[in-house]
Amino acid sequence: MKKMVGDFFIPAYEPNWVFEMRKLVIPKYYGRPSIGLALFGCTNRPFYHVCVFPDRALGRRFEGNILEQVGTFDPLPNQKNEKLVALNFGRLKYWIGERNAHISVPVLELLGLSGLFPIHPKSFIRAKDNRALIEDQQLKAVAEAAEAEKLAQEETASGATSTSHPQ
Amino acid sequence: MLSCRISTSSTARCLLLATSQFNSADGIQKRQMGRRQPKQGKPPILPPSKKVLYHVVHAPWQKPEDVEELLWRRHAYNNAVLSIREVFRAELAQNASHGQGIEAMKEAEAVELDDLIAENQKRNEEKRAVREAREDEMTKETKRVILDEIQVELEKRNEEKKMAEEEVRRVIERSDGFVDRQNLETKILEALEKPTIYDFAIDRAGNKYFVPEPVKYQEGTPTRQKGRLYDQTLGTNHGYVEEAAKKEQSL
Amino acid sequence: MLKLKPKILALSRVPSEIKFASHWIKASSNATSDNIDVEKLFVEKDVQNLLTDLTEIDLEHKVFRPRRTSIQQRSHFALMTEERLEKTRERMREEARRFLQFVPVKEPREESVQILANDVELKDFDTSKFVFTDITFDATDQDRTVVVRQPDGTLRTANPEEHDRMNRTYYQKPNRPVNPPPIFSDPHLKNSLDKNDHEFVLDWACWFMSQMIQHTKFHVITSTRHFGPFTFYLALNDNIPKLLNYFGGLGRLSDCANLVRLQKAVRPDWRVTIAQGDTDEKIVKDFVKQNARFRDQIIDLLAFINTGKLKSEQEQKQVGIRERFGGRVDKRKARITSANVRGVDGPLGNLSKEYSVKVVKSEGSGEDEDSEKRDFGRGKGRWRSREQKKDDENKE
Repeated sequence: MKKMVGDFFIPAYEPNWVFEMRKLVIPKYYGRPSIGLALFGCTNRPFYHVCVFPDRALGRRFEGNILEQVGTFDPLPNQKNEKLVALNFGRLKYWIGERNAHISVPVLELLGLSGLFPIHPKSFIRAKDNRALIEDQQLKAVAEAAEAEKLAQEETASGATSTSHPQ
Repeated sequence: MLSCRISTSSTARCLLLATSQFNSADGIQKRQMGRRQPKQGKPPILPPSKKVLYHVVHAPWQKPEDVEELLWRRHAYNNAVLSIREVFRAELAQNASHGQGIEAMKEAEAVELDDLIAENQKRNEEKRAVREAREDEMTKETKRVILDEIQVELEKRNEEKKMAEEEVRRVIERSDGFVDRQNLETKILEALEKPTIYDFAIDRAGNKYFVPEPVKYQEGTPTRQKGRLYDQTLGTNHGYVEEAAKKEQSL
Repeated sequence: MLKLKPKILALSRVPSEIKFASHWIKASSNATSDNIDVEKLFVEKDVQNLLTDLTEIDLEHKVFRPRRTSIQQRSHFALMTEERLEKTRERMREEARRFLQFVPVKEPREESVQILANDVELKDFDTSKFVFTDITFDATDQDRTVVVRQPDGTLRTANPEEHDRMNRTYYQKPNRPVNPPPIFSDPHLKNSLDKNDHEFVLDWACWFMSQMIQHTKFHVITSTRHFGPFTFYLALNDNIPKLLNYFGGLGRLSDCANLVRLQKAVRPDWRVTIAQGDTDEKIVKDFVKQNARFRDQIIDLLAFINTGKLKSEQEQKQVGIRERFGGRVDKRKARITSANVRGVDGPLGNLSKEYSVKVVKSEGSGEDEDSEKRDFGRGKGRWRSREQKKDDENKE
């Protein structure tokens, strides 16, 4: 009646067993865990823990059952303009290598920046966008400066003409 | 055999009928149980409003060149991540096999704990030896002191005992003239013969004035007191005077 | 990209083996100082012994003097027998020796950082730096991996300052603030040095040494745990004449000799020779003879050797004493009695001219005996201050 799929039981469908479809599993050892950021801050103060969550197939109901905290991330830069990230590399290796954990994109980006992983494609795109933005702003600033200068020159010129004809 | 088949089919049909009846009855009952008045002031859960239901989020489109770049980058990245996973797994396995894994760490910690406990035990033993030696010495010292004290105490008691014996002996010596059972009669008679009277006045010279004069045997009824006895002047010779000088002489 | 990983792994055990000439030896000092291992030299036994001898133990005025601490303590008074007093003194001396344990002399750490990767494509990915700290449980404070990703895309190891800060952020320990205390920034530092609080500053930072030689404020740190390393520093840099002069001014000839011996031990290639059985006086005289160029720096010592007079005898005694105690007269020990409570010596000080002092409870032999009689009863407050009724009134 029961089939083994992977390492957990799926009860075969039978009319009398409808209510047994929800089989109790231990989230810690079930399926493929995922590593992600959990928001632990308070109002106007974001702060993230890098956490290992149980299998996403269990549903969002089990997101609260955090398996392990493997780091922190403080997205607000401190006085010295640094964003602090703490990562427990030993445990990350275990979860990634041994348990084949799914990793969310923000964490992948952090790992890429830290040098443990290759840099995530999104980081490159973001960098490119930022550079374009900065370039735009600079261009705009230069244009505005030129405009202002031109205006000033015109004003001085008109002023000169007006002074030359005091009528 | 046929009858047998019919009978089975009929019974089966009967059973079916019964189950269907039972099921329908059951269902009705359940619905009745489920039909409850909603709580006062608590409206039932409503479906999402149309504005919410039909609101479609239009995410901004990515730039085509970004998409193009992401495509090959993601391809390379995913391959790299796959191999990195493999590398990590290999590393963990290697650590475990080389005795650097968690199991090995646990074992090492257990060994270290045992070592520490053994060392502690050893130190405790040493300390115990030292302590025992010290305590032995101290008990010896204490014993000596106590023995000394006992000695002193015993000597003192002997002394006291001797003194007490001496005193008792002296008392026994003095007790020749004491009254006891043998000489009780004679002593009584003696006392009756020579009574000692303390009812007297005495002056500075030591003269004793006996007023009224003492009598050995009471004759008749004793006299009633008349007047104020203490008014009598000493040395007026109505009584009996025993002069001190005389007494000394007599002694 | 995979090449990065072994680099990261190797990072945790990056040794700081590469040593240059010691930072403790100034370039201005003339001796050759290429291969002196200062840390090793400091912990050598004879150097330590000499330093311990040089650090006098001044229990009353230095080691156990009232000082600013975060713990509030009351002074403890006890009545003891002669024997127990002696024992207590011995114990306190033992404790003082523990207090005076030297601050270690260490070379400063290397400032250079290792660049692990330089991704130009990652430039301007963020406006701020990212600091990554490895919080693996078996990493120690020394070999913890800390890497920094800068906004221009370079990935480098953290410099010692950042490394320290991250250690202190993620692994807090008592008395180790994350940010350096403001006493090291300039106005505060200057103020505290002006107030002769060198020890307070030194307690915070053990790398601070110079100022004192210029102003010859040796009395401030004698008999503290910083005196040993300080003397060692002077000997290492061939700069002992001023300290010699200080000892000479106090008439401590044996300390002078010890200092010369220390210099010899630290710098074996020094020209002054010391024989095995030389007396203290001979060592010092030899030194004076052979170093005539320091003649104007060691006036007090010369005066003491030639005439036998101390510096404090030559000058006014008061000045010397005040300097020795750091210019701080401890007013708390002044006894306040009924005689001086109203005066300038009392608790009010100069304010006593403006305010009149009213004594509520007089002392036993006060001049107002009436109040004492009134206070005979044990009552308090209103009961005490009530109107005294007289017997005669009661009867009528």
